[in-house]
Amino acid sequence: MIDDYNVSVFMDQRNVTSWVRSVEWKQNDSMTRSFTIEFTAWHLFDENSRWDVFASYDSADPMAENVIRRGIIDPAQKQMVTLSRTTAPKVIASGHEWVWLAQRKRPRQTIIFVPSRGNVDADVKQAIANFKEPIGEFKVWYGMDSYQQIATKLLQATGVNASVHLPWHPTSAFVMDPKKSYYAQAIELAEPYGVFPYYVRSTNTLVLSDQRDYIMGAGSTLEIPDTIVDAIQARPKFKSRPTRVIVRFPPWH
Amino acid sequence: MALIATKYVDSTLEIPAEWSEATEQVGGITTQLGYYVHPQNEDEVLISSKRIVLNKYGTEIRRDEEEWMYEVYKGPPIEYKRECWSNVYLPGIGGRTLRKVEEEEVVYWPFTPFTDGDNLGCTRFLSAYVVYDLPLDPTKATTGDEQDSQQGAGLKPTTINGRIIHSGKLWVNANMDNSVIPQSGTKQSTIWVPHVIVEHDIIDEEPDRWIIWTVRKHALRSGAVEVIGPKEIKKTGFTYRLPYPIGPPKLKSLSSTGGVYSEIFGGGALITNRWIPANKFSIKPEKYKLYRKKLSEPERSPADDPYGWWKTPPTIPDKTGSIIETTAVVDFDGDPASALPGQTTFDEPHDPEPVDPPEEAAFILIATADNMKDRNKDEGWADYLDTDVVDGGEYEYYATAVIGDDESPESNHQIILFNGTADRRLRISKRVTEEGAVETDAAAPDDPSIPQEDFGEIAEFEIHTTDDPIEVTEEIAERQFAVASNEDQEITLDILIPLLGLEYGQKVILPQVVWKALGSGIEMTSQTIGDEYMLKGFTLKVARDNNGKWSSQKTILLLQEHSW
Repeated sequence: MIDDYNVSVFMDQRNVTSWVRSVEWKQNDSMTRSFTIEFTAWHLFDENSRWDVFASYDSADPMAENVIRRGIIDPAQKQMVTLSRTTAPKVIASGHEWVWLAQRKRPRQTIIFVPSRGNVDADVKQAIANFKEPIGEFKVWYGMDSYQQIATKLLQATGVNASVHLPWHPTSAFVMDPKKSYYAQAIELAEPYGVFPYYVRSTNTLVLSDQRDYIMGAGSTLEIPDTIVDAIQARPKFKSRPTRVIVRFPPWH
Repeated sequence: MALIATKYVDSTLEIPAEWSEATEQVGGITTQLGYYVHPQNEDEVLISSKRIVLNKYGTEIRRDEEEWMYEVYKGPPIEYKRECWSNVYLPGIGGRTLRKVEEEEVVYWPFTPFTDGDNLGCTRFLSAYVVYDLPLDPTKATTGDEQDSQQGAGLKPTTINGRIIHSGKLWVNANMDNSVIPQSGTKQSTIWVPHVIVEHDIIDEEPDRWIIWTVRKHALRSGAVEVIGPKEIKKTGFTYRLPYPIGPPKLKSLSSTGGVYSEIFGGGALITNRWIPANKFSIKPEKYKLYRKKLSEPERSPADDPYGWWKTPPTIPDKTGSIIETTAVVDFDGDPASALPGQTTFDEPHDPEPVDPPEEAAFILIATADNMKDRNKDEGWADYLDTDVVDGGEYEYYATAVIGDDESPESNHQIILFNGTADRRLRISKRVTEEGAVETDAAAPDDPSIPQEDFGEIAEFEIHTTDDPIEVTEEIAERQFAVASNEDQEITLDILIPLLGLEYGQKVILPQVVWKALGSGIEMTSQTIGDEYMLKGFTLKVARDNNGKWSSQKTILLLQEHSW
């Protein structure tokens, strides 16, 4: 067993480890890594604080690995402090890494994607006419000839690196729904092609890869010996099965 | 041709001599029963009966012969006949000679020709000797008392042919009440009365029932008539249904894209009028039924996919399995225990050998197609695409026309060698919506492993492209069907130490994790199938103890076998 195990918690780059009673971090999918920190006492922090958690096996180098990077307290967390007469006050902060918030980022102006061929003015007017809803203030992304280009640019706008590989189809001009986030729009463009988005944390890259490619192998390979396994559970998992695929091609292509 | 007795059973009852006082010197009774024996089921029907009473000297003193007549086996009786011989003394004829004294005949008749059930009326005839008293001659009376008794009331008995009518008694009744005086010169006479109706059913038919009155006369005497009834028999409803003589259709089948395409033409019923033969009514079929027989068929692919429709994604290794390797029952020493009775398979000695399911040797109904044409104007027509065929298989088809519950004879047979070279996995249709958008609709072929239709989800996408919609859809649909229709295995692993450096998508190698679990005599051995997993998620919690030292409970890893 590993005896020497160190965890350090930093709030806004200040070390607050001495107030921490326990830390839990878990990952549900590639983008969502969440944390829960329990404090022994109240400390001055607000919901805009940025949290970093480091862990290591070596006390000489307590910041060997950054397990939570720029974490943000979940705005949905209702209470952080629990006070009762019989026990010590409990202060619990739970949140997610910043990528979780990044995927909710929305553009301030409505975006119109216009391919480089054709007449820009006519394409923009046609796209606005086709949208049939007020779009307000807008900006034009010009030269968007393929979905690969559009998705890459949308993902980069959220603050991550993008690695997108989609089949090439010539696009026509269209308006991005102002209610959508960058991430949602990028995923929607990629969805018909059966790709699966995953986030490589070490390189801060969002990958939209072909589902039929074998993508395993990010990071180092983990070999788990029999002796440290306490329990193993397995269950088969069935995916949904589409039996009908309807693809709509807008009339203005 | 009535039934005749083919088997006789004789029996004799000897009466002991000591009983002669009580039995009036009867020596024995001989009976002979005659049966009709059905040649197949050996059922016996009583046809005749003969009973002979002998006195102790072996002389016949009475004989009864009965006969039941049937037209056919299991049919209703048509006639019953009984004849009786006796050596009784009959005034005016004499006695102690065996002679026929009575003859009874019952004729049965059905109410109407189409009566259901055994509703029979009957008429009973009787022929017998009747003993009459003769009127006395008052002048020959020897005493005054006798003259008084005959003349005193001033009555004169009614006579016909010199016999007193109301004194008539059937021979057996006359003997039983001792009104026969076995002496010559007695004023008594016996005559043979032939064929008198003594019982008769009167049937009255109403729309829903029969009303039956039975009129019965007492023996042969006039006047005493008994009327029995009414007895009602309810009719049960029945209908006549004449089947249409339906003519068979014509079938035309050909190997087509995606299956064997069959067209069915014509057929139906032609009904002519008896009075005006030129006036013909043609009734077109409502439906057609299509039958198929497999003559030869190449082997189909895996068991869960007999039609070979579902494409296995090429990049996914098939590693799905259970973590339980073996389950065994052990005894206290850990050796395999002898199986309990419920755990062994036992064949009854008379069980037939298990056989492989037979090949499809007979025609099976594969489709019922509606007549797509106007039944009043046009000849019938229907078509059907049989997709349940395998490339290279040979199939035989025929069709029938259906009107109501009636089905025509078979049409011409068509033998088709199906060479389905075209891709049958997608059915893509294209349509233009009101606003001008082009919609392509790709349907997955019916999955034979799923019983219901319309199972699964509908995936809808919108694509802003200038590509050819059909090609784009085909590519997209194929990917969606192939990628999303897989199953994989999720594994949750509890690790005793806190792990660092975990990242989504990491490859996890799990050398065979093996242990044995023993409980209640059952031994379970684990196995892990496949040695590569993808790290999909994890949970790690660390806490500080009282000394301020960090310690961790455990790390829970969520692994996925098939990873994307």
